[in-house]
Amino acid sequence: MAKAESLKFTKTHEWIHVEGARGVVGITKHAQEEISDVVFVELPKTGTQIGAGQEAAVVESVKAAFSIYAPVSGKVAQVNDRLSKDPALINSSPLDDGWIFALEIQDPKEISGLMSLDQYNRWVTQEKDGSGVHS
Amino acid sequence: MSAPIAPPSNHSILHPAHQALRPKFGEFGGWEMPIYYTSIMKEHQAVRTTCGIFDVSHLAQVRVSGPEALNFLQQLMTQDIARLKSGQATYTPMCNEQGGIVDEMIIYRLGEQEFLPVVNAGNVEKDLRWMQERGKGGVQIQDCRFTRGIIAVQGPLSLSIAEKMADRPLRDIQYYHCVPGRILGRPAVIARTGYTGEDGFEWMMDNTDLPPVWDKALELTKQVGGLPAGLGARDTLRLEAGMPLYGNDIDDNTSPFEIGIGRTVQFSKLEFIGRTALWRQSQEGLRRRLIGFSMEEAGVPRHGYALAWKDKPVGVVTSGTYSPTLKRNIGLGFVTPEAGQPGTTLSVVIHQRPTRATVVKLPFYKHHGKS
Repeated sequence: MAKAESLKFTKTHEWIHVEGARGVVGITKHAQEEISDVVFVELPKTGTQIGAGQEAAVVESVKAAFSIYAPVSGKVAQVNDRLSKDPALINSSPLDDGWIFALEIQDPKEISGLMSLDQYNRWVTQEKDGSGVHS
Repeated sequence: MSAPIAPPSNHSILHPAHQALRPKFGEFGGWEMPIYYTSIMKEHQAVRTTCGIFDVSHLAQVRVSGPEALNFLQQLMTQDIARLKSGQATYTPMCNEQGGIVDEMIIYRLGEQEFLPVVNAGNVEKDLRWMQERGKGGVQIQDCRFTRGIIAVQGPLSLSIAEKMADRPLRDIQYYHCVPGRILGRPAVIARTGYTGEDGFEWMMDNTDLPPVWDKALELTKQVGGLPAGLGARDTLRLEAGMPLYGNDIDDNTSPFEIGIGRTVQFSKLEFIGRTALWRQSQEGLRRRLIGFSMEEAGVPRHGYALAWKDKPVGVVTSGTYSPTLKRNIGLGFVTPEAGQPGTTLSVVIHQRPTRATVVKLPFYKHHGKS
């Protein structure tokens, strides 16, 4: 998979790797650190239509459940079945083997609304600063 | 994720030592404490196989002493505190008149007229008010929250670590017993208790003595392959051991019988708060019971999820997690008695989807040791 620089990011800590009309989605290194020990991933069904910002998957850690949102609208083309057997791939390889699902992108224009790596890193810093004692 | 409006959290005297280890902090019972240092799974595993050390200074030590201390505790607690010899400890609920649990705690008997209840962080204000309103002459109730702390060493290798730091052998101290002693030359109540389902010790000490003790215990723990462990692992460990947690599984309306600790209600005592209501319950039977269940299908049960039996709603999940030891998803929940027999198939509603689970006997995990 491509380097972090070529990915686009959401404020909710998903990344998307766009290859033509297809986008592969996962969660960022920062997100997996926050979630910690992933023990279960509820994958979407292929063929499901999902709107940008809607819940597409659920990542469960030992402690809690985290919703994973679609960065852009589209139809689920493929899911990462390896996560059913080995959910911790999200921790060990969040940008690569730990990808979650692939979308057939409905409207390529939505991609321009996402963040670059630099913008995302600034967003993470900002979020940390804003969270006070809970940092 | 937005921060609720809440007063600033308390910090353990060991906070700077934790910060140096860069843990993930979280708020618990008004205290900002490490949730995990490395990972909940690794820390859990360390406690089950070698040793984990915990700072549990968020727990409140309340010293109850004086010529009337025993009578006072006998009145407030459902257990028979008079049975405790000096150096013994007991787990007991403190109930209201309706038989609901105000709090549950371990009480250590330190002397003829001296007792040390260790209560839940989130309940301490309520507990102190409850106790003070009922205290009469001859009883001193001392809130040691900000002057004393607790370090817990837990796991199969905890004895050897504790003995290296203590001024005396500890192997003959039985489970739920304690001795006054010294840890690293500093005065401590050394107790063989814990909340992990594993052998272990808890050291109750003055705050000023805790930092060097933590540093040394951490060093020895790491030498045997153990880890510092946070409240995340403490939660998964206690859940595997089938121990309920106040705030998750217990509140003021929960009765000891409902959570399977009826043995802690001693009707042989002729008078204690809640006795009449609890007696009635013991005769009439229960409307709900806390049970353990194990998931048969993929999905992690969480606090608040609905439980169904034969397509009827029968209760609610109160605690749930992935069990690192059993490698499956487990939970505690309240159900109506007819749905609570071991072997019964329940369904847990996980993200709107009914997911199959089986009622199992508690605890989920029991260690093979002498305690």
